[in-house]
Amino acid sequence: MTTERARVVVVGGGVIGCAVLREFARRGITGILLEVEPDLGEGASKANSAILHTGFDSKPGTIESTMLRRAAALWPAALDELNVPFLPLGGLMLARTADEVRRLTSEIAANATVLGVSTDVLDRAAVREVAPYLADDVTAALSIPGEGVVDPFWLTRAYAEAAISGGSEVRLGQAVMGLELAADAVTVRLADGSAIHAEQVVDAAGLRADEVAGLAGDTSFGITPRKGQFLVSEEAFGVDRIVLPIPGPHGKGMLVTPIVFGGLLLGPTAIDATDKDDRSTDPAEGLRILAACQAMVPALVAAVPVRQFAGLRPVSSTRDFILRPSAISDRLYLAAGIRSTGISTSPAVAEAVVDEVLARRGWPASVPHRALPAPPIDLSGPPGEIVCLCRSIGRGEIEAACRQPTAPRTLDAIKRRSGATFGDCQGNLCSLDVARIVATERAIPVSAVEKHRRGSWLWEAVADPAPADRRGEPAEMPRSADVMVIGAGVAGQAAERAATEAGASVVGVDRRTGATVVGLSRSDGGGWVALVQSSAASAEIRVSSVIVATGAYVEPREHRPIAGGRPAGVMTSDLAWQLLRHGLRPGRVVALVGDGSVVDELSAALVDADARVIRLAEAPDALRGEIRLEGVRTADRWHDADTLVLADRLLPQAFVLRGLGLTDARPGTPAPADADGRLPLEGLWAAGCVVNPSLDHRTCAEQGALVGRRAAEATARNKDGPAPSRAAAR
Amino acid sequence: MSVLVRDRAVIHGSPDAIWALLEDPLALARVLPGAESIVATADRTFHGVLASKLQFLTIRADVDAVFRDADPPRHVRLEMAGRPRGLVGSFTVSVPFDLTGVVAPSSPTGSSAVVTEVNYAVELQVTGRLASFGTPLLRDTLRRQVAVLLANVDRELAERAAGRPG
Repeated sequence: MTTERARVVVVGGGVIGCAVLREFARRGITGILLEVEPDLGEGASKANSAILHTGFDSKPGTIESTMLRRAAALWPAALDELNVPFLPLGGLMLARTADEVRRLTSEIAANATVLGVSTDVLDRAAVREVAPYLADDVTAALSIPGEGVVDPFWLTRAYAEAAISGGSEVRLGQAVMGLELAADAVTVRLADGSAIHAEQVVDAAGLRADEVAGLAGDTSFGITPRKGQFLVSEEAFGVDRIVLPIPGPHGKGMLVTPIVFGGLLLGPTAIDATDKDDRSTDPAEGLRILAACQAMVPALVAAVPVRQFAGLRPVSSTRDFILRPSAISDRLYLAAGIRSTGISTSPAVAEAVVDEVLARRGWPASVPHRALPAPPIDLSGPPGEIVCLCRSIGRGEIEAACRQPTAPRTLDAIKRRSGATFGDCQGNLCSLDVARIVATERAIPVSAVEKHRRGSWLWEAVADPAPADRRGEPAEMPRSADVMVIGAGVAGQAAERAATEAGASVVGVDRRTGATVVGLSRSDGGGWVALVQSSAASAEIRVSSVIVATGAYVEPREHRPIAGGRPAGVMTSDLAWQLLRHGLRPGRVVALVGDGSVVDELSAALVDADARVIRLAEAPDALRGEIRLEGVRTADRWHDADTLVLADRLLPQAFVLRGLGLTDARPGTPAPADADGRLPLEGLWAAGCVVNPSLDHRTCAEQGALVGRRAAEATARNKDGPAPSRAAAR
Repeated sequence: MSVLVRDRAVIHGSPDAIWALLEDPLALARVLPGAESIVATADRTFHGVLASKLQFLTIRADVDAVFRDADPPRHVRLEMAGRPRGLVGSFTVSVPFDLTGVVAPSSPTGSSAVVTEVNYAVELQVTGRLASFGTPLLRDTLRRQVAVLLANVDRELAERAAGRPG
């Protein structure tokens, strides 16, 4: 096996490891970063509050506090150079009782002053003025204007890609198996049998930092995980800054944090744990988070969380950051125990590590710091057809993400780079298409694409892979028509037929035939302009009326109160059908939830694909497995299964109406049509499951026909003269 | 469309001077943030390519812009409709500007000078991918863009006053 040489090896591809690699590169020292997982930020860096803290409430004298203050000075330049999504929102720490007001002013504000952090105590009226969404019992608040939020995935990747642009390397899927310390170098043994002789190793392995140090015989510290669970609400309820309670006897409490790309992050909990792989969530904890956050922001009572997830923070046995050379040899430097403020402190930690290593190695410190901006994403190509429907993400954007320097290999890696699969359906409508793009870009079979960590297989090929959907180009569409019907399901087809028979010119658009309506806007001359995207182009089509018949999708696991981890192998029947049609088997032992003839059909198709099917009447309340599903629990009984297919509950697919303000961002909000199918904006109609997902086919067809006729008649009435003839329409 | 930003700024120049700038496509190309090209296609109507930095992405968009509701030199509404390149979707921005001349009591030279108080709002409608970037990020971007626009106007007027028209 080969042995190569490097000046620096950084172990761990989280935010700290990547920041350290970039900082070395800025000083003109290139290195190699080794990450065991298939993507960066798969550990502590992927599940946190995403806040850039000022450190206003940190404990003076700790390394963490020092790093927070130094980072505050470094962030403006770093953010500018790294091009990461960041919002300088400010924060409000709330006080409700006289005792809390006293603590806020005499302890917390005073602490901030000692640390040099600017804060302001707001009285009740001032709080109302700046944050009318807060609960009435908030009597005062500490305003911390310097707090902000960032996208942690983007930040981690930007650090790494900036380092790559400076000549460093990032190697994913590389497990370190041994560290052999010598006087002048460290031999890093890798799982594939190769080795790297490095002049310096930095241990930034997060939750595993103690284990990596242990490879060199350093057992001077331990790392334990502290689990924090979060909820995600796509609806923001007007919250425009970070809201947090005054710390209680059990910790900092739970926060309401705007997400940089919209929506809210609620939480976290903080439970000391022992299992470094257990990222399972618990619906009871979700309820606890909701209750705590609703106490601060009452409107959250209407929140419908789209996702619950858990992160693990590495807590050191010293209860502070560990930034020092190993006791065994200074050829190994420890950057460990970077717990919940890792994102916030990353530039300062990197600076501190590199400063000390340079001094100890005697490497020239006079090299001016190079500006290493993260390379921009190349969006010069055409957007292509819509792949991720919920977020209107086109093929071109996903392909561009695949060509970034830290090329994504997994579905979750694509999600973090492009947002695809992050929307309401949680990938159940688009995962296969996304995986096909990854497979094409990497020249591997689509069955080799994994979900997240090593071994998280998604599906298996059981037949010759079917070609990708030949969506091709939509038939030549007119640039104008009387009526547009969006969706070609039962209701959409009936609407199109009825409107045509009533004399209207009709244009039908359906994603499955190659074109997607991505937006509707009012036309200057009355009526509507639909922006339609296909693989070749986008086009505007002017119509008098629009009938939305976009149907429904199966409620994904992420919206449901199901305890457990986030393994591969959990999907809805929307995805399962797509897989089977393309010669892919969703799994070997499938727990299938739901009943009725459609589910019977799916069950038979799974059996035909040599899967064993376990029929369940109700969705499970718990899952087992972190990498691939291992089992599901219903009625206190565990069933061994590597796949769960949910086919029992539909949600209306009303994404296209959000931009018009007719539905909010909560999943499951139906199109608000009246009994005649009219939506609140003139010229807009809706029919079928997008209005009521429990409708059967017959009712959808009847409703579609009714709405089609009415839309055509209304269009005719609004025109000068008689209704258009069918001949003219076509 | 929803109003994402409402603010005001002071520009060191008279409303008439600002208005003259709006009538000049070359000057507009200099003051519109990220303008890579602008051509006048009709009276107060322009087409061009704008590059906007959305923090993590620089989005280049083909834009049609028009000044509507002109009431020289007091009020004008800038409307821009565009399609980003490489991303699916569209945007429409409407920015009504109200210009009020104010005699500044103490200019740097000690003499009184006319400055203009600009009150503006930014209304935005987005479809497709841009909508998924979220309101906070779009608001932040618009706020910065308008701030840069007004700063550019301020600088342009200063250069004109100094006899160095762009």
